[in-house]
Amino acid sequence: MSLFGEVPQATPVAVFKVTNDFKEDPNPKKVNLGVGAYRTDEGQPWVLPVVKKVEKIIVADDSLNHEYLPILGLPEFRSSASKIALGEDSPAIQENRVGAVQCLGGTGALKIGAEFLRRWYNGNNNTRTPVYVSAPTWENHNAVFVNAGFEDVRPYKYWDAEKRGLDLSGFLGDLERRKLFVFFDSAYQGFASGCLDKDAWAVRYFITQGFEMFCAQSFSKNFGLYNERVGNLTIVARDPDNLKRVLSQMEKIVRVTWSNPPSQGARLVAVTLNNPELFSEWKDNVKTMADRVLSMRASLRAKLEALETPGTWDHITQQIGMFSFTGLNPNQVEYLIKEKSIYLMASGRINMCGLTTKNIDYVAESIHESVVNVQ
Amino acid sequence: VKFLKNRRSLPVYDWNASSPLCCSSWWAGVQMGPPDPILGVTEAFKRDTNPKKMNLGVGAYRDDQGKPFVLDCVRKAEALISSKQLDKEYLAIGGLGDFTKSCAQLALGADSEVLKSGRNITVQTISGTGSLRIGANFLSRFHSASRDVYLPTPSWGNHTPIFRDAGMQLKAYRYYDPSTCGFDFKGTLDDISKMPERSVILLHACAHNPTGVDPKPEQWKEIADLVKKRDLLVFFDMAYQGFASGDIDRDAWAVRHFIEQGHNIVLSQSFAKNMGLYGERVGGLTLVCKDAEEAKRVESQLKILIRPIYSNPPMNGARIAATILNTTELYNIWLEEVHCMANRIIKMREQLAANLKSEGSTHNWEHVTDQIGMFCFTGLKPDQVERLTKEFSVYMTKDGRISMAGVTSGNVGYLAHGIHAVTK
Repeated sequence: MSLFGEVPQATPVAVFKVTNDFKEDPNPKKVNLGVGAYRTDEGQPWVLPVVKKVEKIIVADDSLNHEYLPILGLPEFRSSASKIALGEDSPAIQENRVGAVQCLGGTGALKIGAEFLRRWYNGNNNTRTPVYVSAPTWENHNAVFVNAGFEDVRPYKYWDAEKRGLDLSGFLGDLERRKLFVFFDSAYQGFASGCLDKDAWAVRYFITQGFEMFCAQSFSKNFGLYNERVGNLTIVARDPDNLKRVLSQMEKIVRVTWSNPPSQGARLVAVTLNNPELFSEWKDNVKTMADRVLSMRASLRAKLEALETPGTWDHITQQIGMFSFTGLNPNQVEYLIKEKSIYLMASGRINMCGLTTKNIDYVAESIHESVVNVQ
Repeated sequence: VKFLKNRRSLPVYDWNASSPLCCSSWWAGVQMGPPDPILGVTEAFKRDTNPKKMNLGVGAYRDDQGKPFVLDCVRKAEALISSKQLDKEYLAIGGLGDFTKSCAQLALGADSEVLKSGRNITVQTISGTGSLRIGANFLSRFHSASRDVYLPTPSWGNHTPIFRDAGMQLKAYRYYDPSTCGFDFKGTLDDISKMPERSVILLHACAHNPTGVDPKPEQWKEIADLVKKRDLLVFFDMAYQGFASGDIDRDAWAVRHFIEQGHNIVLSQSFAKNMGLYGERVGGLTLVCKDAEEAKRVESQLKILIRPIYSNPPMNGARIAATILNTTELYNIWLEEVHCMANRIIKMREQLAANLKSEGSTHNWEHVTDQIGMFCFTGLKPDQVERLTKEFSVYMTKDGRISMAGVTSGNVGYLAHGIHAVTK
């Protein structure tokens, strides 16, 4: 009689299943528009040139070792990462009320932030405190907060399926007149518009309005450091004393989760951000990625319009970042996967990075077919 | 309104203006957390200006110059990896396959029936802590038979908060005998015999932390028998394989014996110490299941647990460890280096005991050489520890635990002098 006899088989995480199915597909024309990782125009992963440079610097540095980082992480990483989000001249930083916790990717930053909020936000037990996430949102947001103990994760209106754009009035309506704590998820700074400051505008604006907040930063995409798990939970508090107490409690949470974070990725980012030349080179690398995405957006829209695919396609260029919500329905998605070996999420979400100058015609034609033939 | 230098004109917020946002902080009710007892020792050490200061707090290996030691096999592995120009794509949730396979093999032995039948599931974790945490989460969710986890007294300080935070209840069994500074075998057996069936018992596989007191093989055999009779779920914490005796098979003996006796164990492994990969966070969690089918179900649930914590594990350290374990030349270098590290510790133990004798101490210091692994439970009381820190700048944890790794041929005399001074 096994102790684990009752353990049921769990359903696989959807986004990884898509990539799995793609890998097993023998069709030479197959295209993976599923998981969110950048690809070059050759459809290959891209290790940023600046990262390769910094790796060499680190390997050559004999003074470095593999000792434990402090619980909250590498200090020079934490401070430079927060500066990226809030801006060099941020008054909040100058007022010593900004702190940070180095975490395992954006997920880790959300996790630590969520665990803290459940323990300390409004009294000592926030299991019933509602958490509002956009409808839709990254599918792991729900799991992160539920696993941190929150029982009430609710949607706020965000996506307008008909307009294929922002439902602003719905958004404001759901959040109106409530005293809310702001938790920003910043996974694509620089990647969206190509400009770091522009992509951080919302976060910085909220600070000028006096908000205390958390901001979960990921360096997976904008540094291409996916598997090194480089993230930063930036904390903006009202004053240094509140910040100090918050950080002390963050330490306790980190200690029972992973003790201290991995050093390699954080070191790479810290060296880059703290060296003016490397920082400049990094910004160029980021712009390269963002520009390619923008050109694929323009191209896909143009091709669909040229094909006179039913419907409007300007949302392709109005939307921003790695992903596009195409507006394709589940049947059309299934058609693309089964008949065309084009892999995307059931929601109709595509990763623009999966498009290349070589496959974009095939994808555009296939989308056209699916819209025309499948209801 | 003051404008920032940045081009986007954002007004600076005026805290004194009347606005619902400026009145108080969300965090007014957050208490100051106490400093971590173990890691806090290093913080205090850093602040000390005494040139003779010694850090015997956290268990990180130091060479005989008191410097951190990067293993040669690690450097070689890094060079190899660097030459391959690999990408940085996300790992699977369960981690790097090359790593998890060789990690399990290291613990269980290459000829393990468990590995052959595929009835283990091994996932890559964030070092030992991460492994214990995921294991604890798994038990909390799926081990409905019991909430109780029995820890030896004493145990690593972080075990308790990890299991508690995961929702388990902490209980204790006798382990260390302060009167002998040795193993309380009778007490251990007594307490195990009273544990409710299907409780979880945590065992340190080798080099018990903090005492350095390990059961002998014959004692392990009796423990295994009794644990079987009580139908307990065994959770092994193996953070020092290779580091205890210098021999990786010898240090894994207890784990392998239990498996041979039919225990389907949960096992946490860390490569922080034995490969010196501390900050890279390299670890593994293994569950030995009834069969391969069950292992698949358990694996699917482990992924569900891992995803909302950190999505997938970090590559760098696992890649280094896998390269070492899977490259014969590097593997052999590693075995030698682990042996060297363990030997230096053993030598320091001998020198400490000898120095204490020549200082004129009349106490029995046999436990210093009887104990094994990185740590020595000196038997010092909290007030003696405090004196040792205040008067001699020797930093250690309040329970009297010292990290032998921080002892060198250059400072062992000073340490003996200090210990003698506070105990005579």
